[in-house]
Amino acid sequence: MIGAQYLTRRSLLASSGVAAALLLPGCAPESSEPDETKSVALIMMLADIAIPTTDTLGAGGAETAKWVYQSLARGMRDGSLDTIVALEKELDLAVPGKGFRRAPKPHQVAALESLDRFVNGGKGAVLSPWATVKSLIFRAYYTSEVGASQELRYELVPGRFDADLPVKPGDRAWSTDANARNLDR
Amino acid sequence: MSGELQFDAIVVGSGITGGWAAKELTERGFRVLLIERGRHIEHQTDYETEMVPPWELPFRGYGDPQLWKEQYPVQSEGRYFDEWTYKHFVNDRDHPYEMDETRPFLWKRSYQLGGKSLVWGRQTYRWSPQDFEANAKDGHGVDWPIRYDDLAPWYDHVEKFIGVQGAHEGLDVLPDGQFLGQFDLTAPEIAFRDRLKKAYSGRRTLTVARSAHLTAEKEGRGKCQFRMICARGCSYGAYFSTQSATLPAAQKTGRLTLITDSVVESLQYDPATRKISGVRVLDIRSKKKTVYSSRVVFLCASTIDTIGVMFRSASAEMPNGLGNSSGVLGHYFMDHVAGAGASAMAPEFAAHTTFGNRPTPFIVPRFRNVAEKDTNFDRGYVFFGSATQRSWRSAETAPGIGAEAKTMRHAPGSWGIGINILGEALPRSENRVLLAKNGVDRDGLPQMRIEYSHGENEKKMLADAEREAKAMVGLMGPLVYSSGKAAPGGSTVHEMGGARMGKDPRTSVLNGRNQAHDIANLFITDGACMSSSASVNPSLTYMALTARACAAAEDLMKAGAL
Repeated sequence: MIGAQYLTRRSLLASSGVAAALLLPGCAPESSEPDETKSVALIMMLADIAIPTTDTLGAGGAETAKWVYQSLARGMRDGSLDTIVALEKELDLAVPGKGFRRAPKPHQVAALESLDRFVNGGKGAVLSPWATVKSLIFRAYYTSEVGASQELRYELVPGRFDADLPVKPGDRAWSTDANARNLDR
Repeated sequence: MSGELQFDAIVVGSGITGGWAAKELTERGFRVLLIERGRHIEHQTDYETEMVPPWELPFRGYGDPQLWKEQYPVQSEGRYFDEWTYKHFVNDRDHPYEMDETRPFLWKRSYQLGGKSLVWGRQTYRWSPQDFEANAKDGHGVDWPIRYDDLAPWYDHVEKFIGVQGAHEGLDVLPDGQFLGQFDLTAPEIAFRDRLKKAYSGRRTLTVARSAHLTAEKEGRGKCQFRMICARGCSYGAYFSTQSATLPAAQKTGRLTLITDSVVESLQYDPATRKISGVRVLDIRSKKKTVYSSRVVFLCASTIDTIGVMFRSASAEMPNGLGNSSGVLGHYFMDHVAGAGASAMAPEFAAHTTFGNRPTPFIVPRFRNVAEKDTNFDRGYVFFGSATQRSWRSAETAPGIGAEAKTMRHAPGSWGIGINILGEALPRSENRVLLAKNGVDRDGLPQMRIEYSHGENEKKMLADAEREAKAMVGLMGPLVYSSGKAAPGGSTVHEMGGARMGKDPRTSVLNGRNQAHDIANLFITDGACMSSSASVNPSLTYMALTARACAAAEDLMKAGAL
């Protein structure tokens, strides 16, 4: 499923000549053996762009990235460690020059935004590599202590149910509300 | 050969009905042995994950997908299954069962003290008079040997003990109960109700889904704290479970003996007395087998396992299964229809929000085939629904990254409203539960085989429900999604039937007192006893039937008949 999505985007880019070099016969294929340290480093970069530090810490820390990596390794969201490899290839195609990791930050942000525009679907939809990784970054962040209880509000024991309150500007949403509770796998 | 201890009553299973049988019988003065196949879970102290925040769990609540796939492939499909609650569900690898791939049945189970009463949806409804008359009126199944009026005082009795929140609506189709307060509806829900009433000339409404949650402290139990983490176990005792309510009541009498990790292999039938003379129990830890004896036996092992005990108890005198002179044991098995529904945006409510998590949705009571048949199918359905405000979870799968998007997620998201069917399934002989020919489970017991599929009536009902759901939620805003597709059997966890009640011993297993036609001292009061399925959650009816059958057993024991 992820492979199919990747091929579609490659052929779109191939028609513009950008990816033509990669399709030439005789090109030695890159090793797709995932390297944990490198993968975690890439996830940190992406998470920092997706959820940057504002008045609260963002998602760019090692803990979040390691959680995403472990979850992919265990197949969460039908992902795998190959998802990161596939994602990096897509990102490499979306920046000019020598690949995503070494691109200047503005190019990285633009590249990720271009992939992010295609994210539109949940359970049952075909997930692109970025959609899968994004989903896990968000899960990691908003279930972390910072994300759940500082960036948003966390209440272990509400003690009451107020069925109708006015939305007050400045109030932050609950990370523990009923809608955050039903967990897709 | 005979048991180490003598009891007045043995109750098999400590779930919703077993707990009730233990409470009623001990309170009526009888010595009771309560046998639970699973492990002990002590109220409060054994709710290990109740207060754990998501960041302290290895997979933040989602759980290890690999573990779910390998050991919980069926249980992990369930609504309340997650990394906090998974130990309250069976390990599917330890307890396999058989079914055809063409008609999958998701059999959700909890083998532990309290059974599914620890993880149930707490939905609590009386059947209506129409439900008890349905089989007689349209000819599907056999006529119930009781009517609503027979059960009404027992609904009162059960509701007063367990504590039910709900709103009085005065509807014949969803009779009011003995409510202890009610939870409030949100602004979109109130608007939806008003629009339904207007659009359908008062013939459709919605009300807060009635549930076994306390709105005030009651007899040592605390009131609901609106966390909606019930299936982890609630130390407040705020929802009804064996642990929070019936077990303490039974233990208070001093007449209860409880054994756990003990599975009933079979019941011994004595043809001379035509009664159960012993209950064969396997201690799962020691592997020791013991036979216990009692004057009466209440089989409350949960629908499919109760039928399993009956088949495993076949003997020379009863070769087709215990109490199965009719031949219908295992047949006429039912599960509710689910899957069809629709959702829409509700954009007018952006200025409204909520605090706390109401642990129950709303219900649109049955409006089809009520006063008269007004569709191309028999019986009816309800809709369960909720108005939800999008949370950070929606952002997982939508465009939006960077600082501005992060800040925008501070505000509560947009409202949506969705409704989904719970529909009555007809009793059919070909839908059945039996022992599999091959295969045993971890404890050496024969596996069960489940053969279940919905029929034409259910398919027409699903199509109608999708059409109606779209029209109804469309009153609130643009349609987001709709479906008419059936969820697999087992999805509602309302499996019932297989040892049905009826007036005629040739076509039913139990009489109007839940007593086996063939065996005077055997009572079955869990879901297996049901002759039809109605369109509301069945647990309150199971509890009421149990309490009523215990009173009948008491009469018979006091009269010396048992």
